[in-house]
Amino acid sequence: MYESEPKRVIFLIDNKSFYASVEAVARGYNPLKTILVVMSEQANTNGGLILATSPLAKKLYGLQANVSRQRDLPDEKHLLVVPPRMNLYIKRNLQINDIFRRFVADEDLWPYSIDESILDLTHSWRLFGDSPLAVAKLIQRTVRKELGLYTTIGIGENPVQAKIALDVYAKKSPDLIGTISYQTVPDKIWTITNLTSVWSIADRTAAHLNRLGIHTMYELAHANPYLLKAEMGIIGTQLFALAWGIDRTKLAKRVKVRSSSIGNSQVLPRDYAIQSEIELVIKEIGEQVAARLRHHHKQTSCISLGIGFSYAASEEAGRGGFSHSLRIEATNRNDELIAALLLLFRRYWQGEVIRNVAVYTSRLSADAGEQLTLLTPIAEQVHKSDLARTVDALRTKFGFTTVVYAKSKLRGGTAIQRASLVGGHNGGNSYE
Amino acid sequence: MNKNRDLKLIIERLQPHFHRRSQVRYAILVSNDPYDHTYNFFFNEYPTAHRQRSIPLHSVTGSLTELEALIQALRHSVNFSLEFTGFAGLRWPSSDRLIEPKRERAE
Repeated sequence: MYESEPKRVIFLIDNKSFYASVEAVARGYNPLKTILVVMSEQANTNGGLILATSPLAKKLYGLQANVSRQRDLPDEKHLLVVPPRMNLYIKRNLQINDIFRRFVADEDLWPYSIDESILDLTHSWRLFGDSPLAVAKLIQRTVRKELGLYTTIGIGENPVQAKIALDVYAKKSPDLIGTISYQTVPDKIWTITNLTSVWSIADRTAAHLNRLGIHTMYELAHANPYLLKAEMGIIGTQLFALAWGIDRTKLAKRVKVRSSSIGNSQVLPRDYAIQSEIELVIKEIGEQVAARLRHHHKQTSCISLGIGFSYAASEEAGRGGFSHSLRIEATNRNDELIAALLLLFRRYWQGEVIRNVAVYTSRLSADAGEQLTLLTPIAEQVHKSDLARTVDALRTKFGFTTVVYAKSKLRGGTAIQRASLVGGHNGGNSYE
Repeated sequence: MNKNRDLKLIIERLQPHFHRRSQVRYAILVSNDPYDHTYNFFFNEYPTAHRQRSIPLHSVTGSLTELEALIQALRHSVNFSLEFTGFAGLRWPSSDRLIEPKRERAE
């Protein structure tokens, strides 16, 4: 029955406790034998967020693999806490992918996240060993030898099999390799009873499936696909295919993005209630988004502002926040974007205390030229545009904090402090 | 390696983390990173009853002789004890003494 399905050799490779392992190796410790957590202590993390936990710390303290809070961490003297260095992890990720490129052609490698990559070895595995398993072991040894890091590998005949093999089997197997093929779907996928351990099924989807009387992957595979589709839409069909280990994705065929967008958001370090302070942050983020538009040579004609209320305010207001968009003349100028953002903010904000600000731009077009208006002198318009580009050039060359607006020094501004962060955490670049 | 500049950076960066708290042992960890071919410096805090902390300070590249000169200068400037990892079997060029007498802690 699987005759017409694609049969490839797909590896999904994941770095075991990536950030924690990188930090252990940098200190000369074995990543599997160190009790270490990477903790971000930015002002907006409310005491500290655990970004990564070494395998031994997970085992000893029963810590979650994903982000948890400082308060959940035992205060125990054998536990080593280190700050994150995001730039170092990005560098390591690039080095790891360079190693993978020795085993596959460029078009057969897809970095999936900071610590996961998908490799299609269909055409190349025979060059490196007698079996895909032998090649997987060779890749593991190479990464370990050159970077000191342990990798976990899921092997499948398509990407979803490889992903499930990785998540459900490889992480628990002594050689850190898991394999699923069409033949072993009944043994390896149908036997899974914890639905949320399967890629793409989280709590809400699992609850939905439970309501349909589906509690295991076997039950999902034997459910009526038409019923699943009627109940859950296209996702229902996809889940059904997943239960049978079917995935027809052609990885080499790049998905064309229909409409890209550029935006930024941030969680504030404390609750903001004063209009001027909130508007200051909106302006800062607006300027950051405008600079990114200019950097990508794009203009936007639709801008959205998302505001998240603080916990108490959302209880009171009965909603978590608001998000609204506005169509504008295509632009990437600071003043025009900020004017639109403030218009949106003042129209919809009713004095709530807020904790979250997001600015997104969509309907992007090429930055081919500027639409001058009749109402402002041309010299003034050109001057504004030149000024923004000069500031951009200075920041590209010397760093963001070379020139900042005086307003960023006011109470509530976050731009200066955020300049050194990568993905919201300490980049560590000043230490390189 | 530029001894004076590296020394200045290491001291500058550890200062904000040194609070002279009681019941806390402080140390500078020097690791030999064979993957990046660097010597990495960390400022470690070992409280007697709480979590340890380890703050990255600096990384340098160079020969063992250069590292030895930097370590000597560091010992002159600060009194923190020094810990070494990844130097198993290696000896200081001037004295021929083992850098890392035995494998220490943490693992």
